[in-house]
Amino acid sequence: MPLKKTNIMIKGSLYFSYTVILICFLFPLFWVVSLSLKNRQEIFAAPPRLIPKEIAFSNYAHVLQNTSVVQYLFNSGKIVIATVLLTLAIAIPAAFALSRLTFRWKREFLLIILMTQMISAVVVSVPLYRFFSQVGVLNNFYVLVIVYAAVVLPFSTWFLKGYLDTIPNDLDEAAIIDGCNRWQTLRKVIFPVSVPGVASVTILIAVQSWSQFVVPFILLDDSRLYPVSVGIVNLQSTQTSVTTHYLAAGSVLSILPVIILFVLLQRYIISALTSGAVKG
Amino acid sequence: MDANNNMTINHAEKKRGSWRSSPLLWLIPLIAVLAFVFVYPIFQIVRLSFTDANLIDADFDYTINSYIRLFTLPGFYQMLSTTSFFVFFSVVFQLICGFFISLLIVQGEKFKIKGTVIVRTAVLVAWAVPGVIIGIIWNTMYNETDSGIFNYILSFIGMGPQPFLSDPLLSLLSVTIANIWRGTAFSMILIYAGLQTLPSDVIEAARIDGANAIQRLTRVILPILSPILLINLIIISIDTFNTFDMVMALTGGGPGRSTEVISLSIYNSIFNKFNMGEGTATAVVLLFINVMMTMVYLKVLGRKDK
Amino acid sequence: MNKYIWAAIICSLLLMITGCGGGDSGGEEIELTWSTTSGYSPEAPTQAASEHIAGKVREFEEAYPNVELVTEIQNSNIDEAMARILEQADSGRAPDLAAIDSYLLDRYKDYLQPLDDLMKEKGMEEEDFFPFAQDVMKGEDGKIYGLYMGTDTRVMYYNTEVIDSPPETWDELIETANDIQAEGYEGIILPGGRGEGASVTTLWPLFWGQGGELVDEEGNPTFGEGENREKMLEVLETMQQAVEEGALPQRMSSYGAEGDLNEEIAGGNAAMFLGGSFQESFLKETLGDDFENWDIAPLPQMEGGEPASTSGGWTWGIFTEDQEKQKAAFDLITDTFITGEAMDALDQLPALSTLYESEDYDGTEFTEKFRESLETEANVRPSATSYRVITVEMQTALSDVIAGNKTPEEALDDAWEVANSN
Repeated sequence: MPLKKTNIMIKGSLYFSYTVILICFLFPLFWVVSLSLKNRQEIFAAPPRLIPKEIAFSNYAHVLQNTSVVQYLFNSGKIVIATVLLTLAIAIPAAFALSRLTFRWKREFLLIILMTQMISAVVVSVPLYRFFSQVGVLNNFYVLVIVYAAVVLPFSTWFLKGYLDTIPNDLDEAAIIDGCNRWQTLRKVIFPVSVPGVASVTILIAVQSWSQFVVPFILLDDSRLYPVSVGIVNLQSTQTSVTTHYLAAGSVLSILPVIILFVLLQRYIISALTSGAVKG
Repeated sequence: MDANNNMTINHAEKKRGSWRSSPLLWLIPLIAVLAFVFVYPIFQIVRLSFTDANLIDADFDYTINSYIRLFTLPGFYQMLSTTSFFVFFSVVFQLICGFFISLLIVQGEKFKIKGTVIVRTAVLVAWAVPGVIIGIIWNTMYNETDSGIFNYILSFIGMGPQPFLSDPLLSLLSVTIANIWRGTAFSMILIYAGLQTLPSDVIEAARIDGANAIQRLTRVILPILSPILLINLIIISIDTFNTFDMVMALTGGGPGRSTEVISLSIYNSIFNKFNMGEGTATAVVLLFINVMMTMVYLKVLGRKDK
Repeated sequence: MNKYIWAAIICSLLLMITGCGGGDSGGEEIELTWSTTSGYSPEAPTQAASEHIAGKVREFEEAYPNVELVTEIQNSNIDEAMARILEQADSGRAPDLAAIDSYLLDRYKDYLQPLDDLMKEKGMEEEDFFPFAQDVMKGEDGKIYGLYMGTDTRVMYYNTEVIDSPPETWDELIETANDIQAEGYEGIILPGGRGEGASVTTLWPLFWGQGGELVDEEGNPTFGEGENREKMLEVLETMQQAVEEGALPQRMSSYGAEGDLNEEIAGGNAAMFLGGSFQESFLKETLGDDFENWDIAPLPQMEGGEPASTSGGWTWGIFTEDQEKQKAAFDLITDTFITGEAMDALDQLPALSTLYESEDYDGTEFTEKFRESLETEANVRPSATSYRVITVEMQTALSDVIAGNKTPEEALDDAWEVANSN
């Protein structure tokens, strides 16, 4: 009987704290949605209203028609996908070698990789801008993706190496006895069992690249290539008109795809992240 | 090359465990990309920091003036202390919030409560919003006119309008809070993952030994989690040191230089003042901080290995 | 099962990447790249502007079927965008045509093409432009290197129902602000944060009005020494006094651009503010019928100061050496931007005095007053390289003073120390 009572109390306090957490984390998102549906007068109404009196979908129509948000979203998608593929293509073999091979300077090499992880993208982007501009590859999609990949490669490699370390060596040996070479071992034996690790690193790369700001902000001159994280800055504040409601609508449009993806896939994302994180 | 490869493999087949052949082929792409994107630019940054280069003029002379200026001119130490405040409080509260949220979720799962999934997802979503948009959203909430939502809410508890973005200290606090909101998810995931690996028999044993909830937390759970907490701490510290997109959109560094963190200062020197020398010298300072953090990280990792 | 899902996802993603290559169609088409700000592009935030520009661009594309127009939108951080174009010009990658902030035009003249012949063909005269605009447009060799598109000036807007006679000095302004605050209105609203708007609206007019000089003839900063220092200090001290007397709200320290004030104005509690001529249309749109009660006056000055304001605006410069492209580019800018119709749509003031009389220019309530301001009190910012540092440091100083972070003396000395050691 007392056990039941404490259970109810615990549950009650859990629900209470969940409510608090939910309000804290969802309110900013709720607020931007609300702003995006207000008309000009209501944006500045004092006191502010939580829910607009008249729902103004026209803000979205304006943003979709007159700005390039859709283009930016598309660019972001393209960059993220290409970055994920390139990063995995480089990081998986490297992680395999670092996990399975023994060689001189291995420890030092790992440390250097780790060191690059710590370096701010602001530091490297400015010289790269000058360099790319001299060589004439500024605004080149592939070069941009290489830089994106470089930013996420260090942790991806470390993460995958850590994951591969947890896979017993017996598997490799069995494969070798079966006549596989190292490449075949990786492809046919190791890769299939490391799918959860690869999945979680994919999510981490995708999220980081989606939010990446400094690299495209400094390395891109051509607005047609902007990802959404940079493109949205152009919507912010212009001289002649109040654009808060358009800005809000643009913001909602640019976070919507990710939110939908996260809500739909959250079960997989959580399990991928936790299983990967613990082993990694 | 192919034949060579096959030979080593045949060799390997015969002698199990002699995987000592060259790892270079596997690592070349990685080395190439990292050298291209990190090594060359760092060399350049250090070189430029010893010049009086301007973003616009192509010519420059070598000088050590940028550093002398940087360390003697007003503003540098304010920038460092602003950055330290921002990083310290962001990191501490991201860890604390992440820890408690994940603890609450794990508890909820134990009691099979509905809603854990929603909480988890809500926190995660904040993590996936690009920094500039976070800055924009919080800027509208901090609005100091009568249509600002935070000030409206505060007016119910009689805390009059607050100068969220125009008071030197309060604006720094506002920026830090927005950053905590943004970064809590990452800590939550890591700690959540760590909590799931906790051996339940150990906690059960502690409970049977009569340890109450707080004792179980401080004497059993925290010690087991400590490696993960430390790694988490270092990763988010570095991330926070390197942050500037959100601050740029939220305050632009103002009022005055009250919220100008080091990354933003680099950007402003180079792209607003066109001063390459000063900007790159600041970048070298940031680089130095980055390297110091790495050293700490390595120390921690080394301890973990033992 | 899992494996197949991943394979399917990766395949479809690959398709997405390769699927958007876009085919280039050959032929004798020429590509004309124009780099413009988002406000002067079909993406402009106001309906009138975006419709006007999009329409003109369509007309241009019909008139030049062989020209493919490539629009590059500049970064919204003007300074950065300008630096980039200069950098591009330096490395030979400049766009064919670019919008350039007028006060920076001087630095581009080495890379720009002279426009005299093209102007002659169109029947445009150098003398049609305001004198300050001519100075900006002309290079050392006497040739024209940029075409002023529209200009602007800074004034005080006020509500005549609340304020009978507009304050002429800052002492009067502070007094007026305190009076209207008692009636429930906001005090002094002005850009006082980190942004060019704060320099051109708040700082420079007061400094120039006292005869201050930001730089000397070699372009070295002078604002922090001798008499100039006294004058600049006076400006900052006045701001501090205004804050202390409760006339100037602290939050102004976070508004860097004139446009940042719009939300204050839209809130409905403003009875006066210092801003740019381009804000008139916003005011009109926001206030509706109440707009009738509003008027403008010259910026209040320090005691004994001469009237002074800042005018800015944008110019167009042509980088391409290709004659055919030059002609097309020139047509594009003159038809789209340098007409009375364009000035109306873009909320800009014509920089050509002849356009004011033109039939297709309607102008606004305040056009005559703005024109007078341009003719009598407008100053342009120095084009010296050191100006960047000066303006950034002084905006920061102003913001620090209004936020109460530094005393005027500290703020000015810090700014001077940085600007002068450059």
